[in-house]
Amino acid sequence: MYKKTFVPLLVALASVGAFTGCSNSGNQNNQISVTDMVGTTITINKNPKKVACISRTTYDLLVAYGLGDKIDGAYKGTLNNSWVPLIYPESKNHYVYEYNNSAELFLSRGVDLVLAPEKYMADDLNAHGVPALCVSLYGNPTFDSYVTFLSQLVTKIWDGDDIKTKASAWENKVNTAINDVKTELAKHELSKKKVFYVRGDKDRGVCYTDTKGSFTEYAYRTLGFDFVGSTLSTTQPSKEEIVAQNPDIFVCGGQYQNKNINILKTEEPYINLDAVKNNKVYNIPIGFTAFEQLSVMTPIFFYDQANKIYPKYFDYDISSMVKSSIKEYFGTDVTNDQVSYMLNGLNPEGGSLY
Amino acid sequence: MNDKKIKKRTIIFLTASIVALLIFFILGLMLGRFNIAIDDFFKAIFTSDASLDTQRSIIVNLRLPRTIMAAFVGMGLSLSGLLYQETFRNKLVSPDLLGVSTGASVGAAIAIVLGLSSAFISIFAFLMGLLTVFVTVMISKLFRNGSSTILLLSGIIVGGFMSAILSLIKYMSGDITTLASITYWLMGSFESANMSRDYILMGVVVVCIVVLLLITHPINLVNQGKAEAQTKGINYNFYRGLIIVLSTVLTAISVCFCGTVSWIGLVIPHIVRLIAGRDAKRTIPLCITFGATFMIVVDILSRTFTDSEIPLSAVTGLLGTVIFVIILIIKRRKLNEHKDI
Repeated sequence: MYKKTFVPLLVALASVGAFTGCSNSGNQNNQISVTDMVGTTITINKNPKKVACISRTTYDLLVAYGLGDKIDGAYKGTLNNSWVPLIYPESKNHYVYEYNNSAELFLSRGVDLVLAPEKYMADDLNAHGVPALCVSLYGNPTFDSYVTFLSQLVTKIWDGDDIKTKASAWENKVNTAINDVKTELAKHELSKKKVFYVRGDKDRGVCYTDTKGSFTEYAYRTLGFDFVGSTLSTTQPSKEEIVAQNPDIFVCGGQYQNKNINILKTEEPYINLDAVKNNKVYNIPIGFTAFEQLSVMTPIFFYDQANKIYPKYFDYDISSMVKSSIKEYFGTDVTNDQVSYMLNGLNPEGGSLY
Repeated sequence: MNDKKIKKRTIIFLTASIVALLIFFILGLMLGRFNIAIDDFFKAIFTSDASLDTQRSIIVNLRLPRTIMAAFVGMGLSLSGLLYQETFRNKLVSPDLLGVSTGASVGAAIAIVLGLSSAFISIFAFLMGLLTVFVTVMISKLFRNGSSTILLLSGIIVGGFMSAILSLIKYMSGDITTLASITYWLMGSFESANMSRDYILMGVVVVCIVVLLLITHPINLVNQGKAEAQTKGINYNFYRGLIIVLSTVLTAISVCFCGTVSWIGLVIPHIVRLIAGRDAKRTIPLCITFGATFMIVVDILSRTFTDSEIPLSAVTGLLGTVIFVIILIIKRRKLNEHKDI
């Protein structure tokens, strides 16, 4: 009885082992060890064909580098943006993922790489046999050395001269933008001022920001500011805390930016703050992604904010830059009106994004 | 202890607690993350000095509404805890006994998932809280047995069911920010306080308190059980129903504006009974002042020491457990007697 049951079982197991061994050795040349943003090193297959972009900074760059057909899906917060299907119509074919997804879902969809926003997600997926890399929204301790991290990671994972050329061009543009702004600002004696960034990607009102380690903290520090969020222990400070900080400037991003700007300008206790009284409340454009997220629009984000915050020193033609960048990275022509809506935080029809 | 002594002690504690309530109410307006000097505080209130617009705005628009809300939520939850404990003759029951808080939580969670505004979150929470208690009462009626135990059991059943629904909603909310919003709401906060909400809360709580003060005698009789109450000639079922309705409304109106707040409905009635015994004429006024003061202190602690607000339940939990241990130590002798029995 035992013999009848176990002998075929052992044979079957041995066969599976043999086949697995063969396939492993066959794939060794196609594998690569990569280290993600939080320092975890994993071995993955090169040139993955079905990528899940759960981290919100990843979808944009992959599409821009011509890897849109390698994407299986993206986080719903990324895809539920009316600019995305306009700029990249193929996005309609991409699966809409939740923030937290089971390993089984990825396995059932045949996903061969997940770009996860948090370490625990990536660890959990790797433990369950789904290759995952953490592309965090925060650097440790700051974002300074992570600005081009994703771009470089992409060129490691995917072969192709075209990808490398695009990545290199984008990285150059980012560095040029940062240097341009820094060089000009260095010419002037500017007193250190406080900026409060209102996130606005969720309807959480004015009391929602980024903390130390975020890309926005890096960006506004580069633009010569003390970033209020870097002194906070939470992304959701109280109203009193914001009043106590009394920032010199408010910058509002995300799809709820116009709602938040209106709150700042009309509601107590914000109307008494220096930034509001001095009319120093600025918006951040939003297109395929919010410009303050690390994306192909990052160079333009620096120029746009420099224009708004320091109109005496900067006067870049942001509309032309946006138009040509969208054409260059996504192959789409946008009208002047659409660019104007983008710059004003509106949807492609000029209406509200929320 | 004779009645005269208890009466005297009640008057002393009531007077002291009224004074404490006034002091903490003013402290509630003075303290917070934004530092306001004492002279600036009084100038901001009593003058129209334009240089103090920010301070005035913080006091009037941020601190006043939430301090009023804290006071009335404290009154509401303490009173409903007291009434439930006395009516069901069980000192360990809380205002959530009949599922009102879990029902309100389900209502709020649905509103949050639907992306509705905070006003609708409150409306959903209030209506769902009341609906849950209605279902509890209906289920208890299926047993055709008017005993409090059956009502208690129905409350546990419906509360458990609502907890399961809440877990399901949290699971299905998917988006981590929605889940975080639900979780944060469940922990309680006075962040959304404003004067229009305060007017509604004050109106409901004041009406309930007036009715309760008018029926203190029937409350005392209901607390002694059905047989005793009927012997004394009161309509037991009517008054018990009325007490449950008032307690439920007090809990629902409190929870719908600030989320669930644990411990206060358990701790304050115990403190009050230690001082004034079980006479509703004494316990109700003390519950009002003690509950309001306790909640104002909790609110000050929750918003003063960190750059975001500490959830109310975290603060009430920390304070409540410590106070409860102290109450148990005070009652030690009594507990030991029970052990001997």
